[in-house]
Amino acid sequence: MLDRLKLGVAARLSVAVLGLGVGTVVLVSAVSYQRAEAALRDRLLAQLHVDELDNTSRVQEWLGRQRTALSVMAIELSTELASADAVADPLRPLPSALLAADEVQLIRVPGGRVMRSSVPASVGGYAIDELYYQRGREGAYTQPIYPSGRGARPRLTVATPVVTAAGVTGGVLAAHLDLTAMERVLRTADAAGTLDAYLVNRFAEFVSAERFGREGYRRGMRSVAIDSAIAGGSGEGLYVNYAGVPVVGAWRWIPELELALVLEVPQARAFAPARALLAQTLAVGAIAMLLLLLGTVSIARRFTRPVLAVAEAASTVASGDFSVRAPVAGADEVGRLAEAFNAMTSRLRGLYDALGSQMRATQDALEAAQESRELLRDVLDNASTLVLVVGLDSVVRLGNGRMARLAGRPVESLPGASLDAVLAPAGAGVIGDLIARARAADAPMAEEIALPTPTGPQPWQITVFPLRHGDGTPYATGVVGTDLTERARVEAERRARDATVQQAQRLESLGVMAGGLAHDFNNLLGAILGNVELAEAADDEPAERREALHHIAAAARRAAELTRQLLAYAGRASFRRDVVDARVVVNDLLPLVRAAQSKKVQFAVAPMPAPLWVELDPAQLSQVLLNLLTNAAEAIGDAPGTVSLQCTTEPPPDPPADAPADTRWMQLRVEDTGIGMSPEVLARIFDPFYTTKLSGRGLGLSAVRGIVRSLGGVLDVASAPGEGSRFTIWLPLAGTPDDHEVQPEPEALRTARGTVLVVDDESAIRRVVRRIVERMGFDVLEAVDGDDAIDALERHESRLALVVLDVTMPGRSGAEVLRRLRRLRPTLPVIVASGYDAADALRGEPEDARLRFLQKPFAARALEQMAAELLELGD
Amino acid sequence: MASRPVMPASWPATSSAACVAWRARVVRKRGRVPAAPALSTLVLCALALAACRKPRVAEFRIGLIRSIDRGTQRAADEPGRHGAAVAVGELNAAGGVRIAGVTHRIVLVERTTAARPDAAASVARELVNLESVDVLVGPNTSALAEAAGAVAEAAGVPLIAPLASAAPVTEGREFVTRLAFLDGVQGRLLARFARDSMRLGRVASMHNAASIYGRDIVTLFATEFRSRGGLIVAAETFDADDPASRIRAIRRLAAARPEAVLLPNFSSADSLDLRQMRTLGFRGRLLGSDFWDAAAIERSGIADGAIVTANWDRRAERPELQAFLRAFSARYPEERPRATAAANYDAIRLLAAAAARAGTRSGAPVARALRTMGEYAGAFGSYRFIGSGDPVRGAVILELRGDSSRLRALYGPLP
Repeated sequence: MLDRLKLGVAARLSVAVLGLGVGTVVLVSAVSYQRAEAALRDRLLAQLHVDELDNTSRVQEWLGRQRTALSVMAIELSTELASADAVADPLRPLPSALLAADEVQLIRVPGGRVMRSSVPASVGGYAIDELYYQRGREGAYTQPIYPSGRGARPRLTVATPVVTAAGVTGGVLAAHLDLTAMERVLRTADAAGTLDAYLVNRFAEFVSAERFGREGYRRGMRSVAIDSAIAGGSGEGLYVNYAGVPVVGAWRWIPELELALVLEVPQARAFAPARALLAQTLAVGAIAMLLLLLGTVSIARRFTRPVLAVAEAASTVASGDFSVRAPVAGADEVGRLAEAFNAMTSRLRGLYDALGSQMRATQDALEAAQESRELLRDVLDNASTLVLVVGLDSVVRLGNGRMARLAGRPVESLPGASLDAVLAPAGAGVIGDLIARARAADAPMAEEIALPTPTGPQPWQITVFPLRHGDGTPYATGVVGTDLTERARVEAERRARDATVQQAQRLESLGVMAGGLAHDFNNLLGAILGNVELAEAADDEPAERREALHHIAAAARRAAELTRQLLAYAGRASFRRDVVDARVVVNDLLPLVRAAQSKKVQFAVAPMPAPLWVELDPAQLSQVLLNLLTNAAEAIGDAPGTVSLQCTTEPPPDPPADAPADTRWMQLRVEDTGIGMSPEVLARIFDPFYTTKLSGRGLGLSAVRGIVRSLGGVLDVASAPGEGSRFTIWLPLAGTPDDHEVQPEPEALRTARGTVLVVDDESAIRRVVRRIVERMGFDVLEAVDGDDAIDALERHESRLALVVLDVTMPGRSGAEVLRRLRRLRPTLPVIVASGYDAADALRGEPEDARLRFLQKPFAARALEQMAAELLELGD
Repeated sequence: MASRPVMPASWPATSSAACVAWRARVVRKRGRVPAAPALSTLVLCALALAACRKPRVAEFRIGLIRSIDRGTQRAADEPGRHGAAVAVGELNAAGGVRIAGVTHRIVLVERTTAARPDAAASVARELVNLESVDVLVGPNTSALAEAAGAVAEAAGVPLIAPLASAAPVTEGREFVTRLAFLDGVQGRLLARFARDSMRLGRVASMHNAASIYGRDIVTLFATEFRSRGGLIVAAETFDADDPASRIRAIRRLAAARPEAVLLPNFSSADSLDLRQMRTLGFRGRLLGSDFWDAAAIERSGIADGAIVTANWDRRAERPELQAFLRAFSARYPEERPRATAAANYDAIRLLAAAAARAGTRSGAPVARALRTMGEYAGAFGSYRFIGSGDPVRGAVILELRGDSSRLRALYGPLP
């Protein structure tokens, strides 16, 4: 039981000692109480026995006194009885002072008539039937207790004859004794009042008037003592008395009075000393136990402290702290226990640490797996691609959000659903067929299929592939689907956006360039005007005049070059792809950039020995370069700095995956020594409309990226604050075009025949063209506008061999003229010359082999060569 | 009262005492009671426990107080005892008495008393306290009944003293009931008959000076007789213990030359007195009271022609009486039923009926049930209980002839 209470060793030892001690104390107390009680009982019983004898003799002595008194009284009355007045005065009460009697009667003999009585009501009554009368006549008589009177009270009567002087019995003197007084005699010895002494008649009734007829005892009382006594016995002992109280009592039958004397002391009072002794013994025992307990606890503590220390250390270890050490106290068993414990703890610590690391690693791995699984889940659910994994039992293992949307059910309900239940409502049974076929073939299978939707069939690219275990056995089938309509729409949107961005950015660049261009043109115009004046002034000196004209021509060519470049950049015919030499584009652009930027910026262009053929729209390349160079120059700002440009055939370090392996690359690198960019800025520079400049629309670099990407190129940027920036572009090289091979210059047709119609609203142009074609041998007709040209066509149609036509004119446009002309002469060679881009000039025109475009301004040789080519084709 | 220990007569008394002994821790006895060894005490205790627990047949215990002290009373005692036995036998044969749904067997506990009040009271006490009776019957004479009635009253035990006719027996008492008429009734009845029917003019009387019964009858007779124009020529008393006083009284009676002499205390033992009176020249008739019947004077023949009052006449046609007579003869064929027999028979049946009516053996309810029983037709008479110990009943006047008697007058219920 002690084990179950989970007590410590000290506590258990204490409890055990306490238990033994308490048992001993209780035993000793019980024995001493028993002995004390027995001694008390024996003494009390002996005392009661003595008391009982004593009391019996007291009662008998008292009775004797009453008899004596009655005899004395009878002698006194004998003289009275003889006299006549005794009879004559029957009501005179009897003197009863000497007697302790309720009533004293003088009864006449014979007749039994009460002559005198201490109770006047009795006088005149007859006692002739009473025993005390009948026996009292003959001598002194004591009638033992008997019930008498209207109340049937116990009565003890002594009687004695009253004998006259003549020796005749003339009466009986009877006294009904006062039984209360008699009982009182019993109690005189008991001064302390601890003893209850009472008399009981043979009918088990109290005889004392004080007690007779008490409520509850109207038919007598019963107890061991009373029963024994009225049966004639006597004795003493412990019993329960008539009132139910445990008592120590003694009893005796007094035959001559037919009375039982009972003496009783309540046991509670009788054994009070024994109980006091018991209490004392217990108290002393308790104190002794307390001392013993304290001693035991103290000793037990001293012995158990080292063990407890080990136990405590063990508890600490149990709670996970392996750093604790049990104190090693001495070399005894406890010391050895502590040492063994410490060794065990350190070993445990090692094991625990290892286990902890393993657990942490496992935990981290679990978290990472969970994270990646969630990530994958998010990605899958948010992807526009349909993903579905079906087990070999045709139960869905995984399906993403796109799949769920297609099936029209929540994504959570997919795993566990049957394939048919998922696909059939969506009308996607065809996917199921595809899966079946792929399984049958045990190979991946891709197919474009149409899935029904409310807005009509929708094309999907579905790929079905087996998922395999490491050993190659398939365990499921994966399905990936791409909504082709969606992809096409997204692609178109992206293109439109890119175009918008590029266009806007181009306009912005144009604005920037305008200032620089105006400046350059002004310089050139100034040179032309100045040389014109020199030529006019040097009429007489042909050498000086030729030199002036040569300078004028050079300045005009430079202006024409500028214009061409500008048109190429801003031309509408974007996204056309030509194979061009990148060097040409670079060289064309550089002067523009130089003109627009601060003179403090040095442009260092690395030599480009070989041609770099790329297939692109030169305007796009121009835009890319212009943006990069402008940005580089602006990054330098007003401080001195260098922008270097390098074109090589270096391949990119990380070519795009879709590029063929044998691709050759052109590398174009723009570097500056400017302020550089922070990583934050660097991260956003390709975003449309992101800008760090005060002016500008933030479209430049996003256009660059869009263009490079559309060309299948690679873009790389490196920069750091204060260390400048480096933009590198790789573009795939194209093969060398045949038509760009150096061709022999065609021989000019000096001997041409026919008439050429020159249509241009600019007279200077008309004059230059007229001179060139006249030099070739043609006749010339001039028209100043569209109407004029049509008029000339109708009148001289048969003479015409060639038409040189301007596009933009007052009245009817060049296009209208061309349509009229083609109705009259569908095969007549036409050269359209325009300051606009060819695409603008020839928009809406059908493909026509006998129609050529000549960009204004043009060299005389270019016109001659084009005219010769056309005339060679024939009419 | 219900907690009072039950002390039946034979073995249950032993076991009951043992029950008490078992509760006592140590009891040592000396003298006549031998000290019991511990082992036997234990055995006794075990037996006592078993006895304490043993279910006993419920009993309705009736104490019968018989008086056999004098010849007169002895003559009435045996028939009275047999009458009680017939009643108990009948009731127990019918299954006992059902009290509160429990059948109680009737147990008759008999005690005899000397003709002294203290003896009668002692016997009553013994029956009540030691025999634990529920009710008491007897004794027959008024003096003894009064003493026994005192005990019954004090102990709260119902008592029927069937033949006690003196007024003090029931006066002021709750538990004591009689079945006979009162002394005053028979004194007046006798005076009326003597004067009106017998045309007597001079009547003398003699009674025991110590007898209340005799004194009351004489007194009331004289009052009634004088009021009807009669003359009481002598009213003598004698002391029972003084033969000289009797002789003197007889001489004075004879000297007064009465036509009849009233002798309420006359018994067959007193025939000497009568012979003396005849010797002294008395030729008149004797007048007697109900005590004569009880004292069985009619058999002696010494009082032929005497006129006596009586509670019953066995020649009456009442079915209850005839049934009793048949039952009595069946049980005691040799014996002649007497008034005491019929009286005790009725007393026991009445007490059983009262207990059944009260639904308890407890004294006060049984006494109350008895007194409020109303009309009851018995062998000894037809009674009407009117809430007191004195039921209203009829009387007869008989004339003694040899060993029989002749009905002279029959009276209905008398107040």
